[in-house]
Amino acid sequence: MTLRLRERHVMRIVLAVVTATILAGITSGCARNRPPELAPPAVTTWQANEVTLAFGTLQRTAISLNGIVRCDQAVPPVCEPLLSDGNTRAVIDVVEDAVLTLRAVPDGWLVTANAALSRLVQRLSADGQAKLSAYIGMVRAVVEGL
Amino acid sequence: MNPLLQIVQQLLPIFMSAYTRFTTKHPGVAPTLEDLRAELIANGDVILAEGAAWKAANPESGT
Repeated sequence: MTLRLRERHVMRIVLAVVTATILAGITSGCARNRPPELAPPAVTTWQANEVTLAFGTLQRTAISLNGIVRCDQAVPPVCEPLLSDGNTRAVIDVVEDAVLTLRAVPDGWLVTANAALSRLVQRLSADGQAKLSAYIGMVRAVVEGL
Repeated sequence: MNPLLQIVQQLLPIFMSAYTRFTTKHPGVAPTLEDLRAELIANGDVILAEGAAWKAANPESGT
């Protein structure tokens, strides 16, 4: 009974985090309108910034999911983070490289973003890919929409 | 309906309203390249700091 309640509580937290993250994506990283009348160099810098924000949202999501601990129903219960430390570290490493490259070479935002997403998928375990697929899709949507 | 979904439904218009206000804050005013560059660096700094903080709190095991 206690475990069931705990499981429901964890599911509520998961739902809250997922909802908050999606809303954070909408309000910070996704599909902001491009400011009017930007000169071409400013356009690429703006696009690089949008991609940076999207990767930031992805990283924040990974860290949040890593902070949620889920326990099974065994006695004693075995508990583990919703997103493993290894997968979280993979996201942070890839996002760090992407942010530094976007900052150094804003003009290359498209190549940088696509390369980072490919590398991330390669580094994530199957479980990590499944848990983060919606958020990786969100970054792809931002990149393709710019 | 799930109470959480009800809360989300109630909050969504507020978030969308804030988003709309955010994107139309400076209509017709184009930021300079320097402004955008500074924003890119500032946003990057925040993201790098968040990643570094997580790594500091979760050091990689030596095994």
